[in-house]
Amino acid sequence: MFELNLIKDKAKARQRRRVIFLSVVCILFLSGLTAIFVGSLYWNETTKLNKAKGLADELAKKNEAMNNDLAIREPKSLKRRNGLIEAWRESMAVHKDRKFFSPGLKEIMERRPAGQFWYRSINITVVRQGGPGETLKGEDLLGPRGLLGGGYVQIEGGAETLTQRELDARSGQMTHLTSLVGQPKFTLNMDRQDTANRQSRPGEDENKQFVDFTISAAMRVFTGGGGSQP
Amino acid sequence: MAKQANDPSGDWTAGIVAIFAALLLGGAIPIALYYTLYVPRVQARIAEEKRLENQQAEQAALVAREERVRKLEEDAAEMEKRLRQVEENFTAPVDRDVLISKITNFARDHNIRLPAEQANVLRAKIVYEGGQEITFAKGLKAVPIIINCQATFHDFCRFLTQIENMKDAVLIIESLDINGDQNGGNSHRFEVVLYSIERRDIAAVGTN
Repeated sequence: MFELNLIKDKAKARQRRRVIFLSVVCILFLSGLTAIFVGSLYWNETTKLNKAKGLADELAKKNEAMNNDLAIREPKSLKRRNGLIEAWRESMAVHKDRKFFSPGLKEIMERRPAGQFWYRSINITVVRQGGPGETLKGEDLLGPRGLLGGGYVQIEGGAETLTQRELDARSGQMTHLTSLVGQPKFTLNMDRQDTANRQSRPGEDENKQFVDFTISAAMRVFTGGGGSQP
Repeated sequence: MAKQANDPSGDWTAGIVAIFAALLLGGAIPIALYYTLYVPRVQARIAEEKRLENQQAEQAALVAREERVRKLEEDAAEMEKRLRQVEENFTAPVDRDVLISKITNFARDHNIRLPAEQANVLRAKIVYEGGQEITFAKGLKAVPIIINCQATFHDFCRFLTQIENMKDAVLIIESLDINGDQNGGNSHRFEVVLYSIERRDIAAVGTN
């Protein structure tokens, strides 16, 4: 009996050891599987990381190249475009604002009083923006002009007022000249100092006198040279 | 010893310890792998994806910027075309001599008499006074031409009208002096200072 029991105990012990061994092996096997699963996740992440890194690096390189290119092109093209716009505006202004002399001169020629009348001199010149004596600038050519002229007009029977009125009427008709130099103003030089200028042509009626006049426009400030200073 | 060896509870105790140890070890390995390898890698991947997103956003901004620059360049090309049209009838610097000969021909056509010395000057092509060109604020240049002549008022007006209305040149008069000539009958002495507007070097506009 005793021997039989001993044999049974040994068999049970072997079975217990087998159970324990199998349990340990199972646990380690499952642990290994889990470790492999974690490893595969790690590998997956590594692949994703490398892919993202590669893309980001490539994009960074592209962006840097693009940025460097734009850093040169952008200010250059902006400056060029703005420069061209300003240049275009300036050239358009030349077409739009340029002053024509010939219509004004035609008016001087055509708008004459009824009596004898002629100009001695006419001077039309640019008004410099910086003032007289300043260097002429391109923009001055598009600005207003000044006028100073003089001549003689026939006055009959001392009717200066009528002549002055007639000259003023002519002045009012000079629209082109007005746009060039401002409203021209005729002034008969009847004061004492200018009486020496009164002339009559030989053989003509003593009543017909020729009186010196000046024509000037307000846009021009004449300095020196005995000119007027409106 | 024999008792210990035959004791079933002793076997179970050792076995349970072994199982427990296997559980600890077997559980620790994947957990350790998870936290030491996988988690940092996930964080690195998230950081890299964030960087990628930033780069993509930056690229989108750069593409928009490039589009603006392209638009600027197109605008510049369009403005250049318009500027060329506007300046088409300005005189090219190389055509100064042609202009002078045209003015001389106009003078001849309208009985404008140039004083002998002036005619020489015209022929010698030095009516363009070197160094006296004037500039506009944005670079346009005007070159002076001085004409001294004698003519009747009518002839001179026609001459001036023709000069002012030239199709292939823009001439702007700066000053005009007319003086009666007591010995000249109907003719007067005229001095005109006019400026020929010249084409600019369009390729150089806005480049310096």
